[in-house]
Amino acid sequence: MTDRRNMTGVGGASGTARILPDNVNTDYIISSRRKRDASGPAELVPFIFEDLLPPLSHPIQAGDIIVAGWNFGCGSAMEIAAEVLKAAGVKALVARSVARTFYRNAVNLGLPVLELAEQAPGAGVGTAVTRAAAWCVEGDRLAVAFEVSTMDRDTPAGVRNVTQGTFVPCLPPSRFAVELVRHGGLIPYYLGVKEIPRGII
Amino acid sequence: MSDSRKPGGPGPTLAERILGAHAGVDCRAGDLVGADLDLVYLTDGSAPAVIKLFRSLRMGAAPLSLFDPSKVVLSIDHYVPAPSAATARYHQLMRSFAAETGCRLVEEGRGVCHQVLGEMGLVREGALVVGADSHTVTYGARGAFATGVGSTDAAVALAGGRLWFRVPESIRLVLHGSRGPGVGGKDVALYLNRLFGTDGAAYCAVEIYAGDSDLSRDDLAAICNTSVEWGAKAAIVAGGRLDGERCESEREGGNGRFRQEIAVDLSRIEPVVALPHGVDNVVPVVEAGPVPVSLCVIGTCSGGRLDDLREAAAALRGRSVHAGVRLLVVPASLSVLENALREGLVEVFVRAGATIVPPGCGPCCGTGNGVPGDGENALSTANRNFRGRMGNAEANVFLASPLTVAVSAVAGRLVDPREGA
Repeated sequence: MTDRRNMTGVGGASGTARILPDNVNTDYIISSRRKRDASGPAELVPFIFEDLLPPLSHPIQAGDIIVAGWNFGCGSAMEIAAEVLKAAGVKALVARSVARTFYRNAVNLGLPVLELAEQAPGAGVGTAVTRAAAWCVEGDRLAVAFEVSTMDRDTPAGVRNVTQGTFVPCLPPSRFAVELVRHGGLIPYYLGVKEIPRGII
Repeated sequence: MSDSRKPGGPGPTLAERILGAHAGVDCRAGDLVGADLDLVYLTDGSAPAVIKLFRSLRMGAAPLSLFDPSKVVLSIDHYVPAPSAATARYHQLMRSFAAETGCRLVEEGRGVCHQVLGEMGLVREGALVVGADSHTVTYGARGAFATGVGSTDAAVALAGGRLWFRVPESIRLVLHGSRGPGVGGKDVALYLNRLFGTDGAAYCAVEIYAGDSDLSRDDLAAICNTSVEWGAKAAIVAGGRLDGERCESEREGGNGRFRQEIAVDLSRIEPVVALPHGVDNVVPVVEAGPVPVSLCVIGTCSGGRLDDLREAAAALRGRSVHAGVRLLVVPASLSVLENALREGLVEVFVRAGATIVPPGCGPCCGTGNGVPGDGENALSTANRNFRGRMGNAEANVFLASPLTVAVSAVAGRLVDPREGA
């Protein structure tokens, strides 16, 4: 039945799971000292996660989907942390939870970010890797729906593990976050729609 | 309208009030609002990207115009004085952008934005402030809702003066009592790192009540500064005008719609240290043992205000830094440095053998001078100790109060400041 799920809505993406630990801060995504003298995100791609322990088995590649634990992207507000992942070709990010500035920066860049719903498997104790193993292991093929097509309202936001044939529900993103991803980020939104409305949006 | 808006129900939190006032609506936690900004600031760590994005928004239209030049500040503080050609070019770009648009520029050497803008009187109570730097939360100590944003948000903020916010839930944090000897505001901040963990206040505003404590404004700045390490969106010290209303409602028994209420008796807090490589890896200094230290740092936006320098100087007066230690002192601003000069604190530091680093971010994030060597232990009053944070992944960074760093710099090892007192 999971095969019927429509993954073609806003922010729909598929890719290869790359498992990361809890509390991956922005300095671990890309260090401030690397950022200092770089002219743009492309030249920083080789240094992604370089200070992370234990190190990744192989570098982040185009077509990867990051599967992280709690509090991904904590620490600095530097947008380059989300930008380098996008520049590396990361399609989407799924985490138990995401730190607020990273979440903002990612959707502002049009990068789909999903937080697992409370009832998603792997919420208990253990490391991020053992908890993720409840639904996903490194290298699994994943399909992400940030928000699904309005034609299929019964399908929640979530991730389909194509390799294992399972579906994991995620927290529904806010309407405005969907709007941003739909436009490809805040800059295209601003150029297309202009002002952010004042008041409740 | 929800029940909580009925007369006699719990009143709005400070976050709801401030965001509501700037969005022109009554709002509550969970709402998304578009809200007008009172102040937008950038650093040399973020301005180059922001300026580029801002120009793309204008699509070449001339002249470039900010939503309100009087509400925009560019601060040169992360890379000072410029350590490379690339950073010197960032600074040139910022100077020419400020000249072109008419916004304010805080020149290199004037200090960290999270201190200087307050000294300039640009952050008022109840203001809505964004900065393209995570430690913008520091200005909660002045009663503002102040939060960090990325480059794209900042660029749109410069153009339109408005951003979207999810109105956060709030945690009420009451800090009361008097600290014991040797316990600084930074110890309270580190204690709270352990209490909250790295996401215990995720997406929340922390509303701080410190009226019944001995914490100074500088102490509260250090505490608000650290709130982002708990995942907080903002930390707001209740005081002044808003506090008056709040105290009134508290006497009536209504006290806002808080997700959680926490009270901390400051008399129970000891001098503490955050061990590598986590900000919440906090233990009492006495439990950490006599760890040898070779690089000591007192300063920056989390430990370089006047009260911090006074505490450190009191421990260094008439003493010398240990032969195996380099001590760097980084005043949070030029004004702090001037006051430290006037009070004779700088003389104490220099006589003790310390190096005075220009006001700014100093060696905090590995982008300025003062990078630790391989295998070295650095003891710092900064706010982060992630692996590689100070520019060398082979070094260990410990975080402590200015007083603990000062006495440890003399001993050459981590020392509880109450030892031998």
